[in-house]
Amino acid sequence: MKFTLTASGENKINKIVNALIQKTKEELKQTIDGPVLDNVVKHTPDRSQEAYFLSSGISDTGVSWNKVDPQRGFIKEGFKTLREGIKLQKSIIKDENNIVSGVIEHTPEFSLSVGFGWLTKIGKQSLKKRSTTDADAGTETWSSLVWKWENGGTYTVRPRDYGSKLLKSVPEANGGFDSMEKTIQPWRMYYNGLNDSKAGIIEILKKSLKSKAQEFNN
Amino acid sequence: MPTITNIIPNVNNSLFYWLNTITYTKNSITGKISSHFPGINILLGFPSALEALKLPSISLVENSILPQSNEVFGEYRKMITFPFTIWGFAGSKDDDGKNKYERDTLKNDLRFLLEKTYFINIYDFPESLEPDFNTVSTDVEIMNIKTYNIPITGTNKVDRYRFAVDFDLLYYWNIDLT
Repeated sequence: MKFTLTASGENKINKIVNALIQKTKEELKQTIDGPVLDNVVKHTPDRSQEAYFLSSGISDTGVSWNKVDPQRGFIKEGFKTLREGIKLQKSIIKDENNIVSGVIEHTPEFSLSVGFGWLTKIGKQSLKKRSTTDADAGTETWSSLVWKWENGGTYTVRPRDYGSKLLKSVPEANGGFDSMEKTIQPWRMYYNGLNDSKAGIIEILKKSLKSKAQEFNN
Repeated sequence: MPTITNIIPNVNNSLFYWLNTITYTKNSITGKISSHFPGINILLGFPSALEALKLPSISLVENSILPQSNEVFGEYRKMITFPFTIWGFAGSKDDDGKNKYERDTLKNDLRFLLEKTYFINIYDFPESLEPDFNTVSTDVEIMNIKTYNIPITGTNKVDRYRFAVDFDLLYYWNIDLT
């Protein structure tokens, strides 16, 4: 037996489908920008952990360093902490062939916004502020900083001034070493945050779509 | 007959043992992962100093445990999930194309091994990384396998040819609450 929908029947079904897709998009955006990113933040290093892991490293002479220089080593003025940055991210909702998906983009700009600064010695007494967004800071290194926090990664720091040496804890200064290698361990912030959220997202969407669909029963 | 004392502390070691000893055939050669990728490092835990890592390497890392739902009464089978990632670091060759090939073959071999293995035996590890085969083994199921390349995360060679294999080990545990 074959049934054919009337034009008005088809219109009605399209209207319901479109309303449900729209509702899914709204609900998904609210869920990702709210509870999901909250869960991601729970797996994100706090300010002191950021300072510790960015300052730790091994020099070219094999000396390990795992302390933060409290005066000069890690200045967040002008930058967001990683937790602040992630909490302020906004999802992008896509709808391709009625498949709705939500994406949190990792742009180079986002990585640069969660960088840091430090003070370097430029004379016997003088200090100068430098940061990961300076033109000569090495864009390739710092524009993937969030990826390093997520998946682990390395960076090498060298003095910017010819002939100078590195201090132990900062990316460059006059001091003891020619270079320092740093490893950031993978924190899997997004991976773990999303895993924690999966069941909740499905539950929220189910409830919301059920309630929306019921509007068409009335 | 001795029984395994506890599943949870032995999952990591058992999986690591499996990774080091599983054999498979490729291009008419049967051998362990270390035979198909000579010189490979197989590590337990993420390397502490990536820049010093010998390539190629793979490292087995247990991720944080997912929340479990247990709102039931009486006898039931509790499901415990152990989420793992195998991080892969290729890049032992001196050519970009060859390094990408090494990354992709290593990743695909690991995927193949996980897909074709339905369960992993769990043993006691009394004092070393060698299992005690006298313990009665139980097994855990492999599920939710996902492989992907990692975007370049730094300027060193170790950052350039990376991949990850995510998967879960599931263990069903009979619990009697009555």
